Amino acid sequence: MPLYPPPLTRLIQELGKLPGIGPKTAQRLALYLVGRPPAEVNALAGALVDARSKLVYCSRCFNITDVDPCRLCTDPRRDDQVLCVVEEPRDVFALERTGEFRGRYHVLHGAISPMEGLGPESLKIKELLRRLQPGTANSPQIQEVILATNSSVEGEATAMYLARLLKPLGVRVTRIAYGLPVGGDLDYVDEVTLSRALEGRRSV
Amino acid sequence: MRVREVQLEDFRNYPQLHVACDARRVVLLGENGQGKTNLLEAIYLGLTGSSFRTARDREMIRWGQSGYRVRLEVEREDGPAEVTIATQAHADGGGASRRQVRVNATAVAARELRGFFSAVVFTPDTLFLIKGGPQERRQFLDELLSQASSYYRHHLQRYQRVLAQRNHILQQAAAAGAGRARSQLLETFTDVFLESAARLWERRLWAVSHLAKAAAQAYQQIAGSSEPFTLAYESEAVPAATPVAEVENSQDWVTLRHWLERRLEAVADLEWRRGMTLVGPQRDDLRVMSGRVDLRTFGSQGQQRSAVLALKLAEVCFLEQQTGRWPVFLLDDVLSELDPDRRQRFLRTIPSPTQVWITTAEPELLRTLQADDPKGGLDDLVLRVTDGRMEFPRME
Repeated sequence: MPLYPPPLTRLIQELGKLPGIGPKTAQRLALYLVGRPPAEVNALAGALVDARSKLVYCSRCFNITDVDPCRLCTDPRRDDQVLCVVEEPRDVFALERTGEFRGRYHVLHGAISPMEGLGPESLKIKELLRRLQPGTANSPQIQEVILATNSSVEGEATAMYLARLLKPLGVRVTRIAYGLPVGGDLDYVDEVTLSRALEGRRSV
Repeated sequence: MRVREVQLEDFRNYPQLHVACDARRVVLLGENGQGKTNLLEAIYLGLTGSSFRTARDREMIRWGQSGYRVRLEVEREDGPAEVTIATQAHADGGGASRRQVRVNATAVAARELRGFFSAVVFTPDTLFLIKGGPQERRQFLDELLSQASSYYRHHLQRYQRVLAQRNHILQQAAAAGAGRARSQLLETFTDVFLESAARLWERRLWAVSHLAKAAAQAYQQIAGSSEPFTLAYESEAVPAATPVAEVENSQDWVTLRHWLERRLEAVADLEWRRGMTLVGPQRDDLRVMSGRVDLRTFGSQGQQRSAVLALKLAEVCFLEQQTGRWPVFLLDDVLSELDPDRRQRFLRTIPSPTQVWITTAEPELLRTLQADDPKGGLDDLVLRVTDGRMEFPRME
């Protein structure tokens, strides 16, 4: 005899496919959900279906959006001449929360990792090159590309790969700096971060 | 640094153990298989976050139990500290066990322990450091530098990752068999590889220059000879006798990066054929010589033993220089293999602030220790280990 009624087993299986959710947590979530009022569960199910059906990748920057091109790509107040390249949509949200960057974005959807079979062709690099074509009247030429991929081996390699590819096009290519967290005392910072910050020092 | 108290629960063959050990030298006396090494393992685990015998946490849980707990009271140069490591295995018997590490009741990651404590262990297997393959000696340097600096740990990890990526690219290329071609992808990963490799080299060269002096002194004392002892970093890509400045703020790695780049260029065709990275820190070695004799291949048993002891003593001194703390020195069944003269000279070479743990099955060894310290001023503690229990015999 199966342990759970079949609908519950199915729910546990589906939840267990989510990242960071193991069998124990999946079971806990499932039992919690089936104990909630139907309206609440319907709202969750509705939100899931709604989000999945309405969200697409922007055909220009490949961020997640409900309108194509996305609001970040069409906002007339943003600077068309600066393009920030990131690995994942969540990086766009992180940068947007700072409120400091006013240019456009390009999401690669990953980083180059030969071991995992992720070559340059599996990222949105062709699409990036297309955006760097000479400008027209309503989309001026991009002047600077900021490489904001992660500091992991793969993120670093992706940045270097792009730098080699983009520099010959005559565009300015920059890499985000690594350094000290703002507001922290020097002696609380770990040795690695501090060494990186030292290497990236600049004259004042 | 000194371990003052050890408390174990369900660790290896110890159901319960609570022992005070506030002494400069602690001797664990007992037959084989009674739990002497297990106790050293628990201390090493508490001080470094890893075992010197196994990478699998579960193996350290006492047979039939679901978890272990290790607690150490440690007197450090910068104040006392308490460390606990507790593991709970999964009830279903599968998967990894859950481990909790605390220093002074604050949770830390196991790898962070190296920032609080340090330990150097010597087992009969340590002899492979001299007579074993080059990877034993590379691992010695990597572990030493990882204990001393989080910067090295960081770059070592990156380096291992990027080496695997680079090898993967070359392997694919070799399998395709098309021969050398321009590859943006390979060039990119080579850049990242150079970056980490050069930093490892800089630190390794610098560490070897420090170790060489301390080890040469220790070797002559232990061997009781004036034969010159030399320790050198051996690398196909780094010219011998490369001067390395003090590492703080040094830019030597830029030069080293340049050398490696040129060497890689020279072996590029071969790399494309063989499908792997052919130069770099992963292929280097330590040369250990006494006079003109390469001890790795031509050393006598006695010379190899003296050399390995000298390297370990140099490690103790190096860690003290780098961290300001004398590591706890754990000697598992080592003294019995030395002749009485070497044994005595070795004991005298150990810097006096170091706490030493010695295991032995031979009660006669106590006489060497006493002879070394006729007035009892060295503060010895002798514990008899029998089947996971501890007694305090009087020194005869």
